[in-house]
Amino acid sequence: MDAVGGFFEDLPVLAFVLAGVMSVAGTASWVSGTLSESDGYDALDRSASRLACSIAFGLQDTGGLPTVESVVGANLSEAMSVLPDGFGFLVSVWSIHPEDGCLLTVSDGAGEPGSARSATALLNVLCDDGIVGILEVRVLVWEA
Amino acid sequence: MCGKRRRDDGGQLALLDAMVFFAVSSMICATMASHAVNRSQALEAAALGEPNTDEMLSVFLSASVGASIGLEGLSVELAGYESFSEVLFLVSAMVMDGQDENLLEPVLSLCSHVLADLCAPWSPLLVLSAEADGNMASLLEVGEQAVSDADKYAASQSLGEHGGVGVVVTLVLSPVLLLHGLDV
Repeated sequence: MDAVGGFFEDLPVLAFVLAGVMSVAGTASWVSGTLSESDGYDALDRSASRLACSIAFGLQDTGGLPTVESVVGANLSEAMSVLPDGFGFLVSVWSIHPEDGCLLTVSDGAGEPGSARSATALLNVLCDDGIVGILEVRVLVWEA
Repeated sequence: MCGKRRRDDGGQLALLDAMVFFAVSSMICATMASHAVNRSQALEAAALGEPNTDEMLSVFLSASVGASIGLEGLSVELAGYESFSEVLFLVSAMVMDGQDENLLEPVLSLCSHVLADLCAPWSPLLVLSAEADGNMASLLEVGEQAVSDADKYAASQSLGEHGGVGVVVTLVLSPVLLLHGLDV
């Protein structure tokens, strides 16, 4: 009888210990998942920014202002090399002044965008009529 | 009798230890959760990203006006090839010379329109100031003054001197409040 009574007396102790262990284990698991997801977003952010800057520099590598024609016919494959393997991307170059419109779109449709990050870069461009316009490079990067 | 009391004391001590263990584990959980939530909030804030105001202002000032504009009453006509920095300097000089600001409305309206496209999704405010002896005096403001207390980002650039007074342009960006248009 003493043994049975002792077991029931120890139940609250067991409950507190189990609750403590389970709450720590559950929280640790959730925090681990959250931090892992954050690290993934950080990597995407860095890749998107690097790609946007690389494309903007690639368009200006002639030294002076790029022309609209050179932007439309630009080969961005060298600029894309900064992106690590396993990432998909969509790059578009837009004219936002003096006229609105998309000049160039390049995409590597590997995989479907799940978690994705974007970045932009601005540069001036010489239009056909001698007017200096504004271009925006928009980049979307995702894990393929 | 004595053995029973010793057993009760031991049980109470074990229960107390277990409660302390639970309290400590709860504190550990709260600390870990707080760290994770802070990291997530920082990430969400970074999702919009900090605008590169220096780049925006530099690109804007280097761009051409792009349209011929006649300023009635001032006998000034812009061909469209002038850069925004030249036009803003001209506008500042006119204001410093006492010209009516309303006559400059076509130029200021174009600046506001281009800036809105350039700075989206941020709300831009362009401030032209006169700087003399280290003191700044506002001459003109283009765009909407932000009413919220949210963080703002700014960049400045000198446009030159007029009559010994420096002209400084400042671009101030503030986040657009989506609920603002719903009168919430």
